[in-house]
Amino acid sequence: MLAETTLTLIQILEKTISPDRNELEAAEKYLDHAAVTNFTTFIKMLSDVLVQGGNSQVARMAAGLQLKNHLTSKDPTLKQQYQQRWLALPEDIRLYIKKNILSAIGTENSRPSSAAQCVAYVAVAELGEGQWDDLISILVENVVNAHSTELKKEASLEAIGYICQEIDAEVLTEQSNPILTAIIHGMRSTEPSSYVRLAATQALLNSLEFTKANFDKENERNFIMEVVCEATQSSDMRISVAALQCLVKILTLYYQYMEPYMGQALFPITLEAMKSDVDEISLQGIEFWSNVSDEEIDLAIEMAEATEAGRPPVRTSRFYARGALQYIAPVLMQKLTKQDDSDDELEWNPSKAASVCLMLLSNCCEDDIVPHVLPFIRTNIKSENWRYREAALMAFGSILGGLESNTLVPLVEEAMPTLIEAMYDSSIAVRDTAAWTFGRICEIVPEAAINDTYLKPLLESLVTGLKAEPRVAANVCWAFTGLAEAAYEAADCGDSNQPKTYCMSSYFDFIVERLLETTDRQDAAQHNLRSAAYEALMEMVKNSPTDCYVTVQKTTMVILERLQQVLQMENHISSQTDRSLFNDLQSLLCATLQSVLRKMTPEDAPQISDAIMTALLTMFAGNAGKAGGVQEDALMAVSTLVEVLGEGFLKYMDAFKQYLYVGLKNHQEYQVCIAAVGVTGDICRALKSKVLPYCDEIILLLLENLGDPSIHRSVKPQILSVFGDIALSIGPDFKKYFDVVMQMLQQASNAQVDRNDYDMVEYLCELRESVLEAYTGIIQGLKGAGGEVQADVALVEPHVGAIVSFMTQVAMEPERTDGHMSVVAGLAGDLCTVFGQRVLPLLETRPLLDLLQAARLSRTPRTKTLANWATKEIRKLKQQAPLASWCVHLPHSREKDQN
Amino acid sequence: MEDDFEKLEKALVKIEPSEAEEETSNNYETLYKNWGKIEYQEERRKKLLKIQKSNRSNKIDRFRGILNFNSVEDKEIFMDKKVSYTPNIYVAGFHKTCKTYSNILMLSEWMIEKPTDFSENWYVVPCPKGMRLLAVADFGTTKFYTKLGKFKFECLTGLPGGNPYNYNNGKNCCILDCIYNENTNTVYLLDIISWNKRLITDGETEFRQYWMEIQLENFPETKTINEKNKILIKILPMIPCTNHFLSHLLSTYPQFENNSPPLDGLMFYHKNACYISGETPLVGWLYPYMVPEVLGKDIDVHPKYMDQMPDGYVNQADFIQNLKKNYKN
Repeated sequence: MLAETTLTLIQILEKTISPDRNELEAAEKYLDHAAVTNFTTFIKMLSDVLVQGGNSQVARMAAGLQLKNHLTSKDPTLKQQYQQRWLALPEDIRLYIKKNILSAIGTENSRPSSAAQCVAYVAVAELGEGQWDDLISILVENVVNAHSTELKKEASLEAIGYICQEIDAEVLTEQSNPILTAIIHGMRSTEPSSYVRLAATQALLNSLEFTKANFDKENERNFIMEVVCEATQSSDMRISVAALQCLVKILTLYYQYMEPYMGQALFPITLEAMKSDVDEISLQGIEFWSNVSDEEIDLAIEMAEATEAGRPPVRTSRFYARGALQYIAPVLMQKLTKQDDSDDELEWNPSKAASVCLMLLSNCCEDDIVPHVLPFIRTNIKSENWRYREAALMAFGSILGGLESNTLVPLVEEAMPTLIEAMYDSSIAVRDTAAWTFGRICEIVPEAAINDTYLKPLLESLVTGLKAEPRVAANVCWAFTGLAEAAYEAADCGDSNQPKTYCMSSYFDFIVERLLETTDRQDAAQHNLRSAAYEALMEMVKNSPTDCYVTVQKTTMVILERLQQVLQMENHISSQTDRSLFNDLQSLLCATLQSVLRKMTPEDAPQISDAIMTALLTMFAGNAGKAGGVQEDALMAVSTLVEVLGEGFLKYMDAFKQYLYVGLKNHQEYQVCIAAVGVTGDICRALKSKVLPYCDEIILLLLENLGDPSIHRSVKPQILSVFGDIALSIGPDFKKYFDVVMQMLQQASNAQVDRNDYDMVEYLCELRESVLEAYTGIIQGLKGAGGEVQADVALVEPHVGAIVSFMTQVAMEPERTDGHMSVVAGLAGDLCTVFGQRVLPLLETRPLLDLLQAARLSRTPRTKTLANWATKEIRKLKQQAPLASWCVHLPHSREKDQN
Repeated sequence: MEDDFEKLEKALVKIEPSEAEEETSNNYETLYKNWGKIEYQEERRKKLLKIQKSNRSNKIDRFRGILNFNSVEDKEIFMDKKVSYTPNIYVAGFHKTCKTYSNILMLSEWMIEKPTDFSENWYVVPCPKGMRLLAVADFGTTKFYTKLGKFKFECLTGLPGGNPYNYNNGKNCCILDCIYNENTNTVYLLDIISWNKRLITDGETEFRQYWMEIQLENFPETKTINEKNKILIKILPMIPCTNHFLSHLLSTYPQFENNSPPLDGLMFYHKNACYISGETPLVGWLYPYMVPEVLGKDIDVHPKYMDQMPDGYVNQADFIQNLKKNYKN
């Protein structure tokens, strides 16, 4: 019976590659059914089919594949479920299957080994649980045993490679010695089989993270490096590429150990690799030097920070990039001339990688790069051959970032006429790069771009470029984005916060018109042109002086019209319209709306707010409003409108609130939820006490969010801060929420995270700042605006001890940020003004006084001001006769103390 | 058999370490030109949060009676120095999706009962006998793959990207779902997956059909055999599933001119189905002779179609059952 079933299974497995759809479907259904009805027997049988050499190769591979698919999944949740399901199987079954799949290693004639995958994924499930502890030694033995076949060695190394890739590094650290032994054994140049060598090299790439202990020992390190370097010289391209990948990774992980290898080995090997005509090899060579530059930029920053803090840096740069510059720069420029003209221009290739590498080298080596690149630029920028013209331009644009301004400004000014000319070049690639270079110039040396001599011809060439091919036009848009900001920043503000005019004023209307046209181009979907054009438009509007306001008004109307048009489109042809395009457009229009609204004068805003709000409400109600991205952008647009209208927003509240609540309830799409929480804060600030009728519902929803363990964590800090906003706007009416909110804040103060997880530490910082912001808002709100301290604030008094102890805790954290200092300083000042001398002993502690001292030296003006203010408040209290204050009771006579 | 291995190997290669490596090794792509500047929404988010924070601070400071700093912005001195390496989530068409084309096509399930919204929300496509293929026009040629991703053949077509003349430096390309009939040297288009680097899969059935029709009109070379187009390309009609239209469709015999190719079966699409890979209940399949049994006797079916009923046919359920059984043996 069983034998018969096995026979059927084999036939079915063979059908899984049938070209006949029905056969295939039937086979898959059969297999799915078998897995569901009798999982244990099914996978047991699969392992039987896999191990029996007499079965067809197809059946064996398909069995392996099926088995593997029941052990792991790309979906992390499923993967965990599968692992749990495996571990829950009776031990004898697991032993049986493990024996089968392990015996199958090296018996397959096909590559890659499916048995290796099965072994690996069982291992990933079991090793972490402390099971199958002899596996690694078996696999290692398979590799090093002189009698093992080539296939057995290869498959065992493949298994090791998969395990190393999938499993947490800690699990394998203890076994790193035998693993490394096997890998290095397989990688040796004396290994006759290139399959074995390749599998070993790929396994090494996956194991580098947990072999630190071996890299720490000089003799072992020497040996590993020798073997890897040798492997880079393999005539088999795949081995060579994998070995080069190892070098790239080793450099990042073990930079400090690279000294002895750099000159003799790493430098010549990677230089030759860069020169290679094989793209894969060349890319790895370039990647290596991009990584070196990147690492050394980090080290330079580390050095600067250490110097500032007056301590020695933990690691130091060996300046390899600087040393290698004269050799690698010519190779990179050579590669720049190998642009792909016929190929997909979005494909990554050595020419593109070379440009990025030059950029990083320039950031790393600064002015030192100039003599190595400038001659190439000068010789080729007017070359007959477009490849050389483009390469010269690219080299020029790439190195701008690292140069000192004394070198940079004359260089760019000299180049301007040539660059403008390049905008009219016959080659699209040259024009594309010229447009991009202007964007770089605006970002890096704006003064050269808005220079009187060149501004007009530059603008002319850019406007022309907006009509060019989408890729050129998109780069032109980015140039406008940079230009807008540069011109605005250079303008003279006088006494007001906005300049009256600037160098682009006379062209402003024309440029905006052209940009609006560009957003409407038929081919604007290509190369992100539409988005880039809207982005440029937003920047132009944002950075516009007073004398361009008429154009801003006009643009507002255009955007509003477009939004209305788009919304109508939805009503008519919703199912026929490409949803994503439609949604993107709505998002972009909402975003543009934000930027024009911010420019609106307080008189103009109410005149168009009805139309805008109607459009936004239609959007929320429509289908597009259900797409997270659109909803988010629409909520952000509401935020801006609220900000601009202030209390005037009240009239929209009843219509809008339902969508606000929907947003607050959107736990899945946390970005939407955050936007909704943000609008809530804005509404509180704008409506002040008039927000009260909506508070019960809002507070309820916010509490629900905090209580939902599945909600994305980044929503929580925003909510806590909004509690402060609510308290601040409704003042004494906040009392009814006081207890529950304080409890939430208390809980949040106790949050702890894994300090090794950078993201979590950052989250903790944010959470703490929000807790402190909320305390601030609550105290201020209950105390009331104006000089008189309201009685309600007495509610806070029992919590003062906890609040100050939290402040102290934050003050002592190594991760203390400037934001923390500012909010702690402010809160300290608040406690003084509200509770007087009774808080002095709590506040006058080393950690808090140290924090105030550090905050007074902060580079952020607000932090500095708050620290000075808080220090003054403390001093004021100290100067008062201590006895007098002991008699004072809160809060009625508080104001007497103030002067 | 060799081919089979290749296909299997491809499936296996997909989970090889190299895949994960590929994703991480090109760390620096976002630094190339303006490639990294596309996450506008993320940027807007950050800007707005910053504004909200500063408004909050200003308000609090007003309560405190400190008014001497209204615009507080971090100078961010170090921000420009540090190069940001956000991962590139850029998906322009399909250049980053897997290179093997297995499991791309949307496949039907048997339609075993008449959907309740059949006449309002469904369309029927008469499918000719032939091989279901994925057509990929790009790099100046058109390649055809089976639904398992196996390469079938290659030729020049007038589709965008499908021949060296309209390849336009990689700007043009498309991926279509089709049925190939060898005898008539014709590719019958069922559906559109991607057009000029834009994925159309999020569009609903009607939209995709509409898009395919209007786009294809711009490529008249596909209608004849010529230097740039070596195979005829036709769009299959898509017809609403009202009794009237269905009766008209099924009482027409032959379906295609000279019964070449003969009608194979009927593919049903739900109006709101987006294009997904693999089987979906929103696409159904029937042989013409099953129509009265599944969709109702009130639909006229030409006797020639009813004659195609295989010997010993009992009913659809039995037929499907037998089909499955046959595979097991």
